[in-house]
Amino acid sequence: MDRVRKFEIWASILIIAVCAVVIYETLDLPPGSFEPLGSAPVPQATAGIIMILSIVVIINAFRPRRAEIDADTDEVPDEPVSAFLLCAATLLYVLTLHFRLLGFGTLTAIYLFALISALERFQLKSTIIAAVIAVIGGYGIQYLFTQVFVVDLPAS
Amino acid sequence: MEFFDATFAILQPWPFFYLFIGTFLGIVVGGIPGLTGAMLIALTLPLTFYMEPFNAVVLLVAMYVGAISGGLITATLLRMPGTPAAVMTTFDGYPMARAGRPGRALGLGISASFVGGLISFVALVTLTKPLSILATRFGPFEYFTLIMMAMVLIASVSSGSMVKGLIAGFLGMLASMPGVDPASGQPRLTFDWYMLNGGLQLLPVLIGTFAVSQIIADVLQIRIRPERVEMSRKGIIMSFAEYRRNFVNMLRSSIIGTWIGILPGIGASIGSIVAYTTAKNLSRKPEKFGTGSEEGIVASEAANNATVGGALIPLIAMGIPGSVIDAILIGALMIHSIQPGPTLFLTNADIVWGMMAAYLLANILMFALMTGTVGYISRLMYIPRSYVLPVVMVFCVVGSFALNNTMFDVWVMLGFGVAGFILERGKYPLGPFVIGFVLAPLAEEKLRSGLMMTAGDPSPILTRPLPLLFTVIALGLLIWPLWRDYRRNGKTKNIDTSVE
Repeated sequence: MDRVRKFEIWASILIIAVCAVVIYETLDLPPGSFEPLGSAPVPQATAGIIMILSIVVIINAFRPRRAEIDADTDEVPDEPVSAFLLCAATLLYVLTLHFRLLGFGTLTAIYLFALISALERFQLKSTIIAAVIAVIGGYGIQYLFTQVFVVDLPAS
Repeated sequence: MEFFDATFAILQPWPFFYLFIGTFLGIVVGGIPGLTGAMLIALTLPLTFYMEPFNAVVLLVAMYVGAISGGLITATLLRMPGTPAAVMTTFDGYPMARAGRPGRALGLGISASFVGGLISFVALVTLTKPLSILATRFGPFEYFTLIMMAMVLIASVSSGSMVKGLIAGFLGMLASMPGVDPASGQPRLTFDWYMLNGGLQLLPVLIGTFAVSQIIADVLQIRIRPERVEMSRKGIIMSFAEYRRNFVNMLRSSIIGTWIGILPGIGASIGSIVAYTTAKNLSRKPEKFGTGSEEGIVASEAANNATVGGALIPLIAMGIPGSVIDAILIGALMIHSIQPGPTLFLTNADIVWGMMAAYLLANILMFALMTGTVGYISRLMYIPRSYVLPVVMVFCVVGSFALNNTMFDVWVMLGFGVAGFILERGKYPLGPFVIGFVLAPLAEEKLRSGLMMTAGDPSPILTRPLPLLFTVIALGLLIWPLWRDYRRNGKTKNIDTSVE
């Protein structure tokens, strides 16, 4: 079984699990008092339909398909390391903002510098450009939002 | 008269500034592969909180027009459609550019986009009001079945499997359901967590689904460097004779684009595919398509720009989004406490006419900007994505935070970003997801108010003409692909048997 089909099956199982949680969570909602339907039936019906459709996807994943659909030609290989770097750096950035450990401008400048440099594999020219983007991006965005759009930003 | 007032209002300094910035940014973002119009508009929404609603609408409509048009630059010069809507332009734009005529290819695309915009503007101005008057007669069951039909339609024309399109649409509907139920006041799907009492807000969901998921997908392919074609402006301005020669194709493709735009949730990509295929089928030189055909470029670009005006029609008249960007525009209007739908002409006529005038003026500005500066804009497309994407991610975080000054929205945005990425990897289209998210509260409200009126009797869905019509169309759209696949499989089996 190819990767796409395995992915489809696991994604469908995940979706079915989410729908099961939704149905369970709405079981104890009281029926409507002023209107006939109440709060529960619409999410229950929606979740039920999704579950049925996901089962169809799982069944389809086990059925043979025409060759041209499965052929994955001309695909450029993915760079999972870059995606991991992005996700990890962003998670750290948002966590630091959440706990207000650093000011927005400084933290954003560090995030931009670190991420751009890492994505460009720390080449000297790119690192200099990353530093410029980081300073302008970090403090520029802070100025734009706090002074021009008058939005509060998370700060230490 | 109101239209001319709105046009005059946009020509004042601040609204015109927003029109200019919106069109320019739209062209640039539409032209950069990996950045999309939906992403730009979702990220701009937080900035519009502090604007006059009129200016906000002008800015967003201008971005919409610019983003759909800008895609043709990279489609022509790099063979990478800046927006999905420009994918058909790559088939003929790039070969023509490679053959040493990039200016000519761009000129044809820009002019066709402009004409497509003008023709759909005529439809926008003439059809919207009558349609909104018709829609005021809709009862709750008419609305409910119309939305359901729209959902099925969106799923059936989405890329890939219809079942996955339906799942995506229903998942979007499900995602809109947590929060205090407005009809009963009962917390629903909140998991006893007070942050969910207000439900999931549209903006973080949009930014996550369209911007963050796209950033993750782009980073996975970050080393792709496009093949570059040298830019030359020769032939960028079309002569009157050339307009006349391409007139029938432009008109036909624009009408196709406008009509497809009006159909809920379909959008510019399908419009340009249908117009391109029609132009090829009716052409005297169909063999030239795919090798640098003028007709191919004209058909694709006239149609994809025309879908923008067409898609604004159901948005204004009925509050039903004609495309993903229209779903975001509905969100923008709701953020400004404006309820799109048939009463919009009565409650916010200035906004309606402002949208129409902004659409016309943005098309004119797009034509001037792209004709004059396409050489400079095309240079921006070679900026490495590793410089752009982290900055866009910061805007995603700030934009989500700015909604309610809470980090909860930032986490929601990230969560939906990851979910959107997983869905796309599994070939679940994101368009139906967002449109489901936007339309579900309206669908549920209409269904429940309809059932209140009939004391729980759903039979009007089958006894009233319009709900019955919408239901039959929805069922037809559901059954037709299954029937077609069944017949196709049957034929394949017969061929296999006869070969054996």
